[in-house]
Amino acid sequence: MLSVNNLHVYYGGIKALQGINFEVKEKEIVALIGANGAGKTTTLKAISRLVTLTTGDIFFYEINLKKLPPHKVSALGIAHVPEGRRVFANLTVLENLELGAYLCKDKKKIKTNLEFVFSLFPRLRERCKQLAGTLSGGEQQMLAIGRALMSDARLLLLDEPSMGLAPLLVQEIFRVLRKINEEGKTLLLVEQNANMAFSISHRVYVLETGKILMSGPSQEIARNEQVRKAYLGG
Amino acid sequence: MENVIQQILNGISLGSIYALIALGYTMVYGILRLINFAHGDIYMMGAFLGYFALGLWNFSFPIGLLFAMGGAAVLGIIIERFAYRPLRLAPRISLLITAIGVSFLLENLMVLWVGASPRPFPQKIPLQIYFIGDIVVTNRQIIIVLVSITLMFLLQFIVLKTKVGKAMRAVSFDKETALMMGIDIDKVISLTFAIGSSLAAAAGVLVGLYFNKIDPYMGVMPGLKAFVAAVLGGIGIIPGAMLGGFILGIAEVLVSAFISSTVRDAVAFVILILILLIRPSGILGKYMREKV
Repeated sequence: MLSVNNLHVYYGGIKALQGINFEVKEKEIVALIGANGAGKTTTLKAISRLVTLTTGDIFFYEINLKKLPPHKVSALGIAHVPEGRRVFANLTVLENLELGAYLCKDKKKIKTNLEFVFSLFPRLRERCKQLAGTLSGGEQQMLAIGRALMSDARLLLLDEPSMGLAPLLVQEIFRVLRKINEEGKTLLLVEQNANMAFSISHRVYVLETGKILMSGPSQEIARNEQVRKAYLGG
Repeated sequence: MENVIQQILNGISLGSIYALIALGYTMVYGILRLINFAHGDIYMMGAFLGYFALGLWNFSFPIGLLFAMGGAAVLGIIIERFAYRPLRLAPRISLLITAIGVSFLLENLMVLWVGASPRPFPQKIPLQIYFIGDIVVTNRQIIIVLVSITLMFLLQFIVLKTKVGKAMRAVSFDKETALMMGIDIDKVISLTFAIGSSLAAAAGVLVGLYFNKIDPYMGVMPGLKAFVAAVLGGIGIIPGAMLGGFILGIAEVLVSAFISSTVRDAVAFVILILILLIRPSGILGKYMREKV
């Protein structure tokens, strides 16, 4: 579904990504883990075309994203749930969700997707008319995920959905992510919370300073001595 | 007492002009964080477009008004496309200086083209004067206020109720996330310039009708005052621009009636100094707490 080939991204002189290769297959949950500055967020932003690729290609099915302007990515069926949620605080919850479906012209489909989002996050229905800025952190994360689902995307890019949330909320979010996956969506997940990432994902790529250190099925990687020491607390 | 009411009525018609111009300032600021100092000159261009439409081609007043608004919208889009868009990633000060440059360019192009001397504005609507007790109201004042308020309602409707308005608010809050939604932010920015410019052009035509005189430098002072109105209401906030415009218009008329007409231009700048000292975020401005 998605394949990233020899991707380099430089910010001026800083080499954020130095030739990474990976792929995501349909209906998979793939996690990218790594320390701060490993290049996880940059990878997602490169797929969303929010950063310029220095070299390399990103293929979504047979479409090369390299030449695409950023606002065209969403139309292909890729939705980005950005780091720090980035909900439109000056808009209501409902307006945020409607913006998720900005490119969708089919009113019926918007309605169905809205009901799906409300079934996943009943709290959002209650807070429909409220400004998104007044929501709690967890609710904002739900809104950010809901907004991405509104676009009817096949591939969801999730940047640290657990960041800054209480453990119970983290579990709740991950329960919903698993459900979304069961509904047929593919997830590419970036996480600091490696325990959670390993438990939910099918495959893992470990990133270190802009390179992929290792990759494989989550359970296998979770047993790796080096990974246990670095990411799972021994 | 009649005199005060009379002056307030005059202030409302002047204020609605400032409000229309201030809306363009505040919308462009909201979306690009740019004080578009060429905005006053777009108001001037709008007045001249109205002058040509009404005087040279003999359109009726409503058609002339729409023509001026449409022409200014195109001009606004062109200015954004060629002067501001190439600087999207440049430091904001470059953008500001460019705006001042565009302002000079428009003024001097018009001096070159039509000359610097003032011209009488074609008077399509014969003046009628109504008396309510001792208070005098002209049909032109009524037209100014009605047209302005209609345009303001229309703008509020677009911004609050339509899909494109939602996109405008989203782009003004967070451009990168707006891109993730598939919003073409260049188009939204163009549209913002188009709407802001057409409102300024409407103000230009209405001023031609009211003061009966236009010239290439007519945009300088109202442009600055409308900027003050936008800051007074809270820059970036659309109802704030309307409120600021009306307050400024009324204050200016009251001061020139009861204190001295020589200080009328100073009023706006005294208000600017006071608002910056007392409440820099403006009357309706507030700081939204951000959650992380």
